[in-house]
Parts: sequence; C-alpha cells; structure tokens
Amino acid sequence: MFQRLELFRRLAGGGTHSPGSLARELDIGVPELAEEIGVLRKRGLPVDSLDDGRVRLRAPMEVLDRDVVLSGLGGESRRALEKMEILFEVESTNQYLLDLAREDEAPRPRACLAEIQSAGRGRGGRSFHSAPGGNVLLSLLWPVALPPAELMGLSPAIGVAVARVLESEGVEGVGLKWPNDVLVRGRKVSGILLEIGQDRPGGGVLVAGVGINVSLDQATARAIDQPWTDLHRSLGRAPSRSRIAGRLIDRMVHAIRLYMERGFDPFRSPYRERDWLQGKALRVEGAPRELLGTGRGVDERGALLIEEQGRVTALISGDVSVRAAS
Amino acid sequence: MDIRKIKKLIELLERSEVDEIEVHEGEESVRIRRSPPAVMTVPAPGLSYPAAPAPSPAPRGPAAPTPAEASADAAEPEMAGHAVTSPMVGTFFAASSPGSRPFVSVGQRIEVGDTLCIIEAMKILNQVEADCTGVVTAILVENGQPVEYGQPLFTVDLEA
Repeated sequence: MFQRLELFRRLAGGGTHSPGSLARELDIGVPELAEEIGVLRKRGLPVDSLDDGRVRLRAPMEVLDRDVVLSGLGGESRRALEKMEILFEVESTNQYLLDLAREDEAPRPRACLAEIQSAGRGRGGRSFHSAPGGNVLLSLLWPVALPPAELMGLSPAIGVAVARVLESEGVEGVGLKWPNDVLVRGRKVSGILLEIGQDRPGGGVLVAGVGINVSLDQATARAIDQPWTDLHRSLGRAPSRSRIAGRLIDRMVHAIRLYMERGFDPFRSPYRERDWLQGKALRVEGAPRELLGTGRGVDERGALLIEEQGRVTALISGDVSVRAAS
Repeated sequence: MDIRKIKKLIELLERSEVDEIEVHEGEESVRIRRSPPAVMTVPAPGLSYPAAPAPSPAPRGPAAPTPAEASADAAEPEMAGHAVTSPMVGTFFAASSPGSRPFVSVGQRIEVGDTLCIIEAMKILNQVEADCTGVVTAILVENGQPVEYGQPLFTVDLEA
C-alpha cells in the first residue's frame, strides 16, 4: 500500500529527487507520483519542480521520528500505552481516536500523532490551524471510570503538563490562561481540547488533544484570530518536534494517571504558579451573563475564580478575555 | 407526591452543583434546598426544572409534547416519554460547529449510541449519546444555553 508519509519522509530529508527513482522506491507509477506530489502541494508543502525534472522540498523538514518519540517515554507511559502511532494526515487526531474507541468494547490507552490535521478543532466548533511539519499534534485515548462532571479539572491539569514540557525545552514566560490555553508572554502557543464519548455505566473514554505551534508559516499564521506565537520564535531556534512529542506523551500520561487518583488537587499549586489571569481585570462572555471582575485563581476543582464587587464566583464555562488596564 | 420521587430529587441535588430544586406537579409542589456553599457557582437562568428531573429512564407512558406539560397523577407519576438528561453542568451545543447541522431534530428517529448533542465545560466536550431507541419529541434547551446536571435535554418517544 502506498504510504504518503514515506513520500513526505523522502522529500523532507532534503536534496533533489528524480521522479523515476522516487516512483520506483515507493512502488508506484510516475503518473501516480505526480498526483501524490500535487496532493502534498495542496496540503501546503512547497514541493518545487526543477528545470531538469527533479523535485525537491524547498527546505528540509523534520519528520516525526518514531524512535525519537519513543525514547522520550518513561516506564510509566511505556507500561500504560498499548500503542503509539504516527499518521501522515488525519481530519482530527481526537476524532480518529474517538472513532476507534467506538468500535472497541474495551479500549486501552493509546497515543496518536499526525503530521497534518485537515479539520483540527477547538472549543465551540472553532478550528485549530496547523501547518505540515509546523506543529506537534497529539491525542491520547484513555478509558475513564469517573463521571464527566468529575473530569473537568483534567482540562487545566493537562494545561500544566503542556506548560512543563515547554519549560523543559527552555521556553521562558510560559503562562496558563483558563481553562487550558498555554501562552508564552501572553501569546497562545498551544491549544488543548478534551472530549468524552461512550458514556456508559461501566465508564467512558476520554480523548485529550494537544496542538503546539512549533514553527508556523505566514499563511497558516494569518488564519489565527488571536495573539499567537510558536516555539521557533520563543526560543530563537526550531526545537525537535519528535522530542517534544515524546516528552508530551510522557507528561500527559503521568498527569492523567495522577488526576484519576487524586483529582485536581496536586495540580492546583503548579497551575497557580503559571496563572496568567491572576489579579488581571477580566471579561467573561458566554456564561449565563457577562461578568466583569478580577482573576482570583482556580478552586479545588479547577474552576476559575473571579471576583466581582467583593463576591467571588466559580466559573466552569465561558470565554475569558483580559480587559485593557484603564 | 410519591416519597420515592422526593428521595430521588434529594439524591439528584446532592450529586449536582445546584443549590435548590423546585418541582411542580399539578397542585403539588416541593422545594429542596441545601445550605449555601462558601463560593457560588455561576447561576443558571432557571434552577427549577420541568417535571421530569430524574436522570433515570422514565416509565413508558402516553407521549406528551414536553415534560412541563405532562399531567401529574399523584398516585403514579408519569413522564412524557423518556428524558435524556445532562451528565454535567456546562453549555449545550446542538451541533458540532456553529455552521453545521444539529445532531438531531424533532421527529428524528434515534438509536442507542447516536450522538445527540455536546455539553461543554472547561473545554471538555462531552458527547451525549442516546441511551434508548425512539423518536425525538422535544428539544428542551437552546443552542449555547447553560445547563445543569441532570437537566432534561430531550424527550424521546420510546414506542414510536
């Protein structure tokens, strides 16, 4: 079977390639190869055709490397995960795992990474924009016995896990914007979306999806409707996506297991240390009514505490923005 | 009102984020309140439910348009078909994204496991799946509306 990921790997490694030998190596015909190269271009990969007919990727790219990803996993995650797979392209890594879980009577924990996500999503049906080779796109599937209402705090807990991975890469100024946006100096660098499905008496499944901007091109960046940044800009160099992916899987497995055992409590203090909304003037929309108040951290369940005229309210829903200082 | 039903309401209150439940059934009504916590959760627009608050499957009975209109028989409380209730406090989404078609509409036949809606809280999307097979007779909440734990979202006619 033709593997688009293989073609991407060969081009991403750099150099120029003759279509004839590429086609032979991939065991397809030259016309099919031309079609496949067309598909890669459509996905936003700059594949050039040179005058002599050879093709190349304009600049070499780091392809997700399975061995490097796996080397980031400690014993706990190795034991816990049944499978770790790398896809070339998928609509959404979250949806992919939710669909798999639907067909499985007793799904086991597994991880899924993708190079390209064509329909990545965020809260309220918003899109998560990504570029080929420009992000870490990871989803973890986990069977859960807790009812949905008790899983809410896992959302900021995963935010803490992502923040720690970025810090271990040397990123400075990492903050958390409730419930779980990860920021670098106030600009969003990572989005997290948790989904729960298969809610049955015996338990359901949780899928935790994380997207991290590593190096975004201008075209992708233009589609993002909020202040953003990527790790390349924050660090002044492009870190290894495979290494980040491995560390991320490891941290997330640990965070999920810890949460299932002890809830949000162990995450409250590390969350506070990175709470970007603490003491800021906030506006919350989409809650039952608009709220204007001051950020007062999070409570023991991970709900946002906001003080409005001396009264503190715990919020579990709504869009939070920081008001400009007057 | 049936004592078992009141007991069920108390259990519902204990498990939920709600501080007070008031239920009217014909001439009768009951209000259950707990002492206020130190920190308030965000108040939802209506904390009193229509007369079908129990998250357990309702007994089969004659179909009525909505639970709120169901006539109450004190001896044997009946609900309008089967109520699908919210598994958590959050925001109700009828479709996967603002532009797309709702998961279900009134009159639609559903089967066990079909996704009916999404309840979102703290960026966790909870896909609410059908726990029964039947025809949707009412959608009780608006897209984007906050919902409480155990609040009825849909009624389903199991015999249709």
